[in-house]
Amino acid sequence: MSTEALVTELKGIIIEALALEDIDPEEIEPDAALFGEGLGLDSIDALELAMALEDKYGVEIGEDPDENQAIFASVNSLARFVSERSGA
Amino acid sequence: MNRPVDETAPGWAETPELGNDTGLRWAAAAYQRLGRIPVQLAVWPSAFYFLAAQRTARESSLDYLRSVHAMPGGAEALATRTGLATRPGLGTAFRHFVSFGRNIADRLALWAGSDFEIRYRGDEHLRALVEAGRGGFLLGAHVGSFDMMRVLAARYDVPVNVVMFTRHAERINELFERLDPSSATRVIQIEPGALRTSFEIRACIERGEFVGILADRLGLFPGEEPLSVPLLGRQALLPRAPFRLATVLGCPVLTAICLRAADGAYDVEVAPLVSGDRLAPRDRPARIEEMARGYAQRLEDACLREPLQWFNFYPYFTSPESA
Repeated sequence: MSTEALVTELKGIIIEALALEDIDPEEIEPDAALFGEGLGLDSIDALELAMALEDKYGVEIGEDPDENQAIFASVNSLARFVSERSGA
Repeated sequence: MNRPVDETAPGWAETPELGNDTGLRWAAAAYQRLGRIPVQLAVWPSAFYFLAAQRTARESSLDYLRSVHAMPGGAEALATRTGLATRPGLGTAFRHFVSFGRNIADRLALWAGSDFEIRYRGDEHLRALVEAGRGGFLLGAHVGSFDMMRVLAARYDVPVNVVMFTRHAERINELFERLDPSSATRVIQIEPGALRTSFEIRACIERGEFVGILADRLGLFPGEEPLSVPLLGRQALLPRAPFRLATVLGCPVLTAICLRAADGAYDVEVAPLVSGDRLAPRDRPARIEEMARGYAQRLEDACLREPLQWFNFYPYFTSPESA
């Protein structure tokens, strides 16, 4: 899958997993922060998203705080993680 | 202020929160040196001091007691525990503070190694999960004695991770370790703005451990939008995070409430709240709401059973008192 297609798919997963139906995928900047500022998601949203990604791509997300902070930084960083770990 | 009050002041001020290990350690040390009697004696002047000097605590106590009194069965429950048949006034509030003092004295005794008679109800629900290696949430409250959760953990030899908003998690863990080396109680620290807490909680549950949260107070999870639930004929706010986490993880949730009976023994009541299944995202808000209401109902049942063991002495209800 091309990076671009994966980014689009991830945006869809974020919206579905976090029930953000009022947000248009176009509104999510691939490089903007997902948590805190940016989309304003929190720690539980991150967990929800992690579980959705695990279900969909068969990746495993552990409890290492630094690693998770890096994975969940933005849609782009999520895409990098998923393509590295799943071969998507 | 007279001397007994001075001596137990850290107990009053700090141990209800279990958030300050210095106060807790100090109080436990004082208890071990001085024994049970001075602490018991200090309960009465301390209660009087609270009634006389702590206006918010006094008014919040009265507001709560009057809500209980207005509930079906509430007046009878209060009359049984206080010997007073009137609408709650200062006399009832005084007994409420005495009950709080006795709770702290018992907690110190427990920390200092005293044995209490504990009766269990519904703990087969916990046993079944432990035997299946399935972790989950144990929701407690500032009602009765939540320290007994530690006893419950020891009884089933299952680790219980208590979620706390503290920067001292490591030191509290050391304290737990020192007080009871066999104890499997650990503290999970909430770090505002960090992603780690939720993942740490998931890891505990995946290992088949339990996560203990006192879900009756806000402030543990800063910045979240609270849930409004009916309680004792009023509206009250509960933290959303415990119910959200359990719903996202799709794991079992039990309530564990431990009340002091009239004979001085403790009655631990464990009851399932949800069995734990993973829901589609769109079905989660309704489950969260339903779970929070179920939890509030358990609080209400406990308040009507032992009306003097509610230990939230600050304005709790968001709706005005019903006339």
